[in-house]
Amino acid sequence: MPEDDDDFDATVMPRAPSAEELAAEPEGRRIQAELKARLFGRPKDVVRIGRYPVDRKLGQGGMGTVYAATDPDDGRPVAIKVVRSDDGRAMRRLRREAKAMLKLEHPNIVAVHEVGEGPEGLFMVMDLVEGQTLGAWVEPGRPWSQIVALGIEAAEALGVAHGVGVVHRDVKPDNILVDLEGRAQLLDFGIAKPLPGSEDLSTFTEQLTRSGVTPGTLAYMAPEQLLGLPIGPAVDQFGLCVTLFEALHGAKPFEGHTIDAVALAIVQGDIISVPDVDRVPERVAQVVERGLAVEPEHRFDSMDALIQSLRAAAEHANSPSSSGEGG
Amino acid sequence: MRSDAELLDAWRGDDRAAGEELFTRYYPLLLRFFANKIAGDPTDLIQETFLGCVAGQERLRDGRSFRSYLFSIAYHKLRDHYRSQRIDGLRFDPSRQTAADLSPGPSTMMGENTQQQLLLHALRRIPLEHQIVLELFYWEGFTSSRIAELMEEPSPTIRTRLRRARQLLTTALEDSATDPRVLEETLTDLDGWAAKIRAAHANPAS
Repeated sequence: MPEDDDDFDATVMPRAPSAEELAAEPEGRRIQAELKARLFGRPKDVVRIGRYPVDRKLGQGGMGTVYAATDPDDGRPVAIKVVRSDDGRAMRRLRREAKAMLKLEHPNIVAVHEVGEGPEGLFMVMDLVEGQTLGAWVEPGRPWSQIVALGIEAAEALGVAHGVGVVHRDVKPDNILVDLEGRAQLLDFGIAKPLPGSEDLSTFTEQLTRSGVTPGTLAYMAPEQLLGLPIGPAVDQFGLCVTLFEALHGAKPFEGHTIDAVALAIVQGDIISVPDVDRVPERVAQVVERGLAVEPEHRFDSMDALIQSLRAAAEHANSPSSSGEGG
Repeated sequence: MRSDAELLDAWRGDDRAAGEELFTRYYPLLLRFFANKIAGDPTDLIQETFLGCVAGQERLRDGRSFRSYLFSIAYHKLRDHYRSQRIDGLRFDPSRQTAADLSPGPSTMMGENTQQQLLLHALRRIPLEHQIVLELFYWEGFTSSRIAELMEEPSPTIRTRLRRARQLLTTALEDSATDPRVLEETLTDLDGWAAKIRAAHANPAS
């Protein structure tokens, strides 16, 4: 302990993360192998997840780590997401849903080729999609019609997943990729942990904390998710409509300076007012706002219903009779 | 078992097996040191640090461990790295810039739970030299005079910095509990506000 210890609360200083554990993770092992090759001329040990040699780490989120790897059969690049949790129930659900994803083939869903388990945790082997996130794609004043078209593709993919009993739970711009052909590619189905649906406040908050929600996700979370109520496919409709609102209007529908304020705006349905100069056709904006209804039953009945309304609104705006609208 | 100093001498004499043994002993510590301070791939910096030890002429005197020698080089390599980057055209200033300023993006180091995650996050949001002093003191167990030696600064300066660093960390932690920007990037403890939200929802009038 320091000789000049003042009022320092020792719990404030994080316990040291274990250096040995860091070194034992796939990324730690990869770097070690690389360095042994560079410093000592060792042949480079290949670090594998399952049977896939790891090339590099792509990213890390609250829920897991994503690696770029190679399919040993055909040399194709793949992305491997590794998820680990101490919560046995959450892991069982993740495993079940990951396996359901194996059967899903859709042009707008990033294909899952293999689900496995190893010392690193549960891993999912997926196509490595080249492209950008919807958030990046939308940046330089994308016309509303393109955004709506992309939203329809994403909605179709979600509808197919709902058909086999998989709710995405974490629809947001980072989870919708736009590939090099300009098609939407949905990522990370069923990865988000469910928020517990407990009516008992003490267990609810405890479980919520333990379930490790990433707050980047908060702005896209449906009221029933935030409140820990039972959730269904309507949460995906909500998340998609928050994403579309932000892409179309350039601002998130629910704003606040603190995390509490954002969450309150969501559960109370306080949508910001969009500027008058907004170029988005009124009808399109109305469809998106219906998807943001606080009560799930006030949203569209299904992804199909949302898609039909989006199409109709876009066609109306593009028809010659609706002058003054459209871009 | 050969001592660190013996292994280093042997490595300098081109004994690769000795070098590899020393590398294996200290690689995890260096990985942890760099992983919490740069967002990118730390491989080059770890390599340069080990090569710096081999290239060095210093004998490890009595009382100076290989570990503090290693961290001294690691610290200087990190400074060189950030100096050469010139973030936003600014001069590198570890007394003001934080790891989060210098190397934006999620850290490659993840806390094992929510609490740990928030703490690590706060640590990356205090000026770099304060972060380093705290980590060397609490994680690596160096005394303040040893830290002074390896950062090449007077002992009283380091003791003052340690005190200040604790205050800064406490403040950073308090801030991170309410700052949505922070929460964008990290896991959060949802306890407090989840209860508030539910209460507000139940009584919209309040």
